[in-house]
Amino acid sequence: MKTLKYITLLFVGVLLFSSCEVDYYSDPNSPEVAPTYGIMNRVQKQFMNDTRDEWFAGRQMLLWVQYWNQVNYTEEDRFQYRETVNKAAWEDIYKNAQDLQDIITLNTDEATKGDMAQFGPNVNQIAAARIMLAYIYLHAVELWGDVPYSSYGSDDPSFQANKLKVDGTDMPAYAKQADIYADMLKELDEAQQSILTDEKMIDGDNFFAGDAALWKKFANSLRLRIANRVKDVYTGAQAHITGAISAGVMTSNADNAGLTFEANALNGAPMYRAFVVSARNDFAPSMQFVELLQGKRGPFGVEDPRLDLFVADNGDGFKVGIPLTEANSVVSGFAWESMPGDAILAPDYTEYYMEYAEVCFIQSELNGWDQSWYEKGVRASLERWGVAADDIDAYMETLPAASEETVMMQKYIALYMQPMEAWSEYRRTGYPNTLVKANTPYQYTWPTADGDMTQTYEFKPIGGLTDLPNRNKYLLNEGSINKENKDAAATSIGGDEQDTPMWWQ
Amino acid sequence: MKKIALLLAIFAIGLQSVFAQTKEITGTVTSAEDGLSIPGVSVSVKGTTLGTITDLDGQYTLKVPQDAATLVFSFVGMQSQEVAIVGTTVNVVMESDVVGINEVVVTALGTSRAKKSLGYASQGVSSEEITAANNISPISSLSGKVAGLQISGQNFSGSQNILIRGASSFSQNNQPLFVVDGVPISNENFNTTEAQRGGGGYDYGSMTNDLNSYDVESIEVLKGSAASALYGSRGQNGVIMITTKSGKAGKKSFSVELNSGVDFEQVSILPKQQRSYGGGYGPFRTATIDGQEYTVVYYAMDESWGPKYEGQEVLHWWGAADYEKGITSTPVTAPWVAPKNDVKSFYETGVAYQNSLNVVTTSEKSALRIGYTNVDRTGIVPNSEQQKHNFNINGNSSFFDDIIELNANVNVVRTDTKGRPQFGYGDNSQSQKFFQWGQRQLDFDNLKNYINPDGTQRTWNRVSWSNGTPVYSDNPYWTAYKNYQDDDRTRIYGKAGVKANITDYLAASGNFYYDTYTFNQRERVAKGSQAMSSYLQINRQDMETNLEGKLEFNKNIEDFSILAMLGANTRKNKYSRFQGETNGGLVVDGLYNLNNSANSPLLEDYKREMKVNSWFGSASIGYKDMLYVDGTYRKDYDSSLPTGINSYSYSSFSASFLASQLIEADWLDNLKIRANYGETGNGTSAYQVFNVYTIGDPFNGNPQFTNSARLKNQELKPELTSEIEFGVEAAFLKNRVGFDVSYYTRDTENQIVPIEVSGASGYTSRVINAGKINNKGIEVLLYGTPVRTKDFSWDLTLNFAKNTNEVLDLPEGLDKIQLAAAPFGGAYINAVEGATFQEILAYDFVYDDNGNKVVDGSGMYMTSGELTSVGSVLPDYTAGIHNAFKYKNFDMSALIDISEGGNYYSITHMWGMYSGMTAETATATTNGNTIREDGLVLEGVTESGAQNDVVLSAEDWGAYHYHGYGTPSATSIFDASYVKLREVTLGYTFPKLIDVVESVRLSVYGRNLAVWGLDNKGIDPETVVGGSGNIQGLEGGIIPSSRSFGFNLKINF
Repeated sequence: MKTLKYITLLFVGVLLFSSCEVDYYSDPNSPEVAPTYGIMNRVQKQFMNDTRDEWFAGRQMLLWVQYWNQVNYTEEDRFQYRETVNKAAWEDIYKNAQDLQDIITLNTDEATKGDMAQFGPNVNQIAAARIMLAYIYLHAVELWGDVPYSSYGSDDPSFQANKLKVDGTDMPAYAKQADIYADMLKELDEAQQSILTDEKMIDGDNFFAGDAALWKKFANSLRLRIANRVKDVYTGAQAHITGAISAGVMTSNADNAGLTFEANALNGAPMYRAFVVSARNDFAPSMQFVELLQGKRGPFGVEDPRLDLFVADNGDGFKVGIPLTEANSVVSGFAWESMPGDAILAPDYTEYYMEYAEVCFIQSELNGWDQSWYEKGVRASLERWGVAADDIDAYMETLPAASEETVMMQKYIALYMQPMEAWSEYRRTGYPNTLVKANTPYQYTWPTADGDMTQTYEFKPIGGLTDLPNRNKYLLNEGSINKENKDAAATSIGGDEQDTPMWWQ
Repeated sequence: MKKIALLLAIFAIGLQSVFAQTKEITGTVTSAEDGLSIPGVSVSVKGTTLGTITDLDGQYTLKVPQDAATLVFSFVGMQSQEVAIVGTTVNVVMESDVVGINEVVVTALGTSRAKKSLGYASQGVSSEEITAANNISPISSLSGKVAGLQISGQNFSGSQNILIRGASSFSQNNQPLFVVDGVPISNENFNTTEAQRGGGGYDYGSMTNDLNSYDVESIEVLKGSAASALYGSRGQNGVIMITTKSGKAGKKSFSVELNSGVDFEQVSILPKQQRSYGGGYGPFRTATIDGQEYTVVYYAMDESWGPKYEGQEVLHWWGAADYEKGITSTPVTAPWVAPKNDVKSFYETGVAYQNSLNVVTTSEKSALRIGYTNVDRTGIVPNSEQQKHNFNINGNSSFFDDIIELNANVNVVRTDTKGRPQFGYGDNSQSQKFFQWGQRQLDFDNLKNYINPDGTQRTWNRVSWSNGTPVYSDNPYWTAYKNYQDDDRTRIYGKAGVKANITDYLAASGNFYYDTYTFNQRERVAKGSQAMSSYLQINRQDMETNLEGKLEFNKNIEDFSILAMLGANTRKNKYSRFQGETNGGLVVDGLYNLNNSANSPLLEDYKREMKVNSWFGSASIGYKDMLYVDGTYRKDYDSSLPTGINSYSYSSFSASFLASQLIEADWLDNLKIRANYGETGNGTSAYQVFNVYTIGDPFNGNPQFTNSARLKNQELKPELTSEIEFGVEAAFLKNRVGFDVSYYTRDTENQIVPIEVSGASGYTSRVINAGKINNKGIEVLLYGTPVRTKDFSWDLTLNFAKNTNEVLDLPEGLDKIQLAAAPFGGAYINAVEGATFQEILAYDFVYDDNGNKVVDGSGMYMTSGELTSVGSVLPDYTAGIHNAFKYKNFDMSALIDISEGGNYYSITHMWGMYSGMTAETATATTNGNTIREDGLVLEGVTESGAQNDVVLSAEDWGAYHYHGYGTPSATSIFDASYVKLREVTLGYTFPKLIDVVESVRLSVYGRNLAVWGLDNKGIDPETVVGGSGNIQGLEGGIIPSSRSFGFNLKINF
């Protein structure tokens, strides 16, 4: 028995005094360093999922510029946006920006840049990230006004966004719109200059399959868009307009920056996922937009060949837009609306970041509403939507001459499904001029199986607005966690209201 | 019940032979106090479960084995006695017991200690109390029985939120550690964040639902840090120590216990709904069908602002469906009336059969217990059922003159569940469709037929009279029978141990503890549902092992008693989850397999591994059974923290002084004063320190990588709780009255907090160590026996706990931390500096200086437009009142459970008002009208201070409950107080019937029979619990509260 006792004692002793130290167990699920092309692939897709989905586009932007109205709930049609959508937009923008900042870091850091070079020259990858950053930050600055901002090429101390990972800034200051626009233009210029056009841009590129020359055109086209927006308030804009055009903007639809989704539920286009996968039929093309396409309102007077693509027939075989009304009970009583067309709801739909038609309309504007750029723009849009050549020619025949109204109205039609840009252009120019006016009763006549019906409706915005909002209010969340900076920005832009004007308005 | 009778018969015959070699002992038991005989005293043969109870005259007769040596007499409130068997008559005089004074309790790491020596609060619950009302879950049965233990949540095998002395950590878990016979067992909760915040999901329940009430001998709740300090980084939230039944070696014996019960569960509380107006909005529509004009319902609308019931002939949804599918040749109409079979008729009576069989066999050196329990139940929602099998083997044996002791304990639990109801704001959440959105005229008899002859769905929420495609809502029976979930879990836990008694004062032991399970979940959406068809499968595997070595020293030296221990433990956790989901719908209808996915299924692979090494020691020194001083120390080394900075230590000190040893007074039985200080921690979970990229599904042939939304922290430390506690225990008048009072204050610092940061920083949150929460409170246990006569006794136990939670400090620059957001953003749960850890922030009313609500020009309440605190989720106090009566062979008890204070936010109320479903939207006015015809004037004042007189339409009033209109969301905040009749039992113990049957007891019980004091009469605050995490107080769609009753038969052989 004695031996047994000693064995036990020894066993316990060993257990007690064996080393207690343990090592860190690293995460077996996710890498600490990711390949940059996987990040770029994600950002390009995610930003479209974030901004062209049923929430940000469906329940806010498409409604505000009256491409669509909601079929049951009018709150958002009437500018009562959801705070959850506002917050998601903010977080999505900066999250995508963070991923892009990481592409720059991974291509700059000595420990990783060598590895990353296999997906494209470091300098090209950095340029691609800078161009994408300008595109993404543009959404922030045009949605709220002064916002936190970050720049690769500038050490402006007011640029504090997306810095938490590098220096711990978790409550960034809001930069001034004037500084942001100037820097975005500078960033785009520097980026386009730095591109090595005879090498690939970056792997995982869904826009141009890594074609660096096309990235250069995209950068300059975006530069043109931004410079055109601020040309009346920013003296440096003119140099960027000239510079962008001479460095090379998009010259055909082959240069369009678009992201084509996969024809399946998981990676299908956001509106396909909303209407088909989630069966949310909450939105329909608006009366105003359908009538514009039918030639019943606006300057064109004939049916637009894009109508069939944009708007489906209703159950009775008519194309009927849904009216904009004052209450849910009114709109939910309307039972004749058409849904968006199959082209819009296809799973493998292409969401455009920017396209050639817009570049044409900008150049028409810059050249005193130039006829030839105007025609090129209309033709480019019709072609990219796949309208048959005969129909294009026939439509071009009927086109009224270029003027501020006709160019801007065609631009509005061409920007269908890119509502953020359409909204910015409305704020800058006041076009389209076919939108339903607030607080003014109007008569609407639409066809039914039993003949035409007519009813009077009235569009009553919530919150005392009489025109489209100029911006979203800053998010409540910033008010609670980054209050000082938010309050300073609100003061700086002249108040945190939906009708507080943009710097360039 | 037939099965049970058969079992009984088999045992009656089979056991005859076992007890062939017996002798009969008789005797009388009397009370030392008054000399009267005592009925109901339990008499058993020591070391066995053979036993009986005394009859009305205090007499007993017991057949015992020839070699039986000792009888044990026990009775509540009396000191147990062991009496040697001499001859065939054994008479006993019993003394009143001083509760607690000689009680032995199980403390941290399984050490048994005399309760008097403890310097901290510890409250136990016995097997009888746990099984009194036949509660399947021993944890649920603790509700209302332990001061300072708050348990909420009740539904079909759902989650419980269990808090000891309030919540102290911002991190995702404030649940105590569960230890069964030394085995730390997992109580992980797998409810998604979305489900917990009310966004919709299934309640997969707490993992402690695997425990079996009938295997439990006792439960000890270690409340304070000093009590749980030996668990180090796992002891922060207290420990629930469960001891299971086992045999005691000593004599040869064999006994059998049989329990059989049947339980009925019925829905008890449903939201109050109006029965005057049907679905739609405004007047009826008309449709011309085959040249004939019909009045049609606005089928596509899921609101109930439709026409008043006046018996109008209309084409109901089912008439349209039958005509569309050719079942009727012309559309059949019917009157527009309130439904005969309303929502309540959807719910069924859940029936549970619970059968348990335990066999104990012992010999001089060994004991073995084998238990089997089976639960077979159906729930209140159609197509829900559960089968549960618990198998337990518990054995011990000693060798070599008792130097070596071996013990082993194995529990195998298999649970198969089908049809857990979805709750919260989800597609398959029946409550969301019944109480938040829908049409009130629906008759559930019509809905029962949920499939058309062609196999398509037959639902009320049609696009139009001619198009039966579901718009928003599936037929609830379709949801129940087609879109159901099911899951199964196999769990094995237990231990194997060896102990060597090296000398009479020194022992060494080694124990291996393990807990492992596989948990498989399957969720379905059938083809033809409103949502795209899908199948989701999740397979989880979890394993925890602990290897522990201990050296124990136990010796009395003159007036001093010394108890010391030194030990080490190594813990390993390994968890994996494999998840697959169809993508793009199912190909073949009804085939729920990932291979049946239209596109490549989506897969997710997750693994987690941790190791914690620890060593620990404790010492307790007692002086003359009067003064005890204790100290403990533990050091943990944790693999989830960076190498080199990953160890932390915890210690505690306590003292107890038994003043009654110095005071010679007849009326004073016990007076103990205790004080302690203890530290405990809460470790980080794995992979919280280094940033990684999340991998997304491939897109266009390339992978997707992205930052997570939360920035991690390489300098993370475990949380640290330090607690001071004082207590007094006393018993008077031969134990007729007594109390136990504790006061504690605990600070939890270095909190692992994911703090919200500006989204513009690139992240929405970051993890830091910061903040301090204080919980302080008192716990009172009062007990007494107001009446005790020969035939009748009345025992009363009161427990009361008041905990005050305060966030003392938050990270620099923050005044609150958001823990959760309700769907639709009307309420947020926040830890607010200077207030509590779970404040509800909402858009509050505007009040004038006199406290009146201010109304705007539209006649609706104004809101400040900013999120402000409208109250805390946490209750002010909880209490339990337990009355037990005994009259001859009858016994009866009633437990009232009280929770006062606290609040919750109800989305059911918000949308129910918005959609015209709740009773309030049709409040009667005059002349048989309701507010729908007359409108209403809200109680309040205008901004200028005048009484409000603006008439608001019922539709607007309803709609304004949605805060999206810039109206207050505080309209959907309710007080969470309740008083519940938690348990009522009535039992009868039969006089001895036949020889082999030692005792028979039949009891009838009810649980949750009545509730009082609800703020919203239609919502049981307990049903708001969506998981056991920190997301509480958000109700997104309830599973209605239920009551149960049944009867139970217990037979001992």
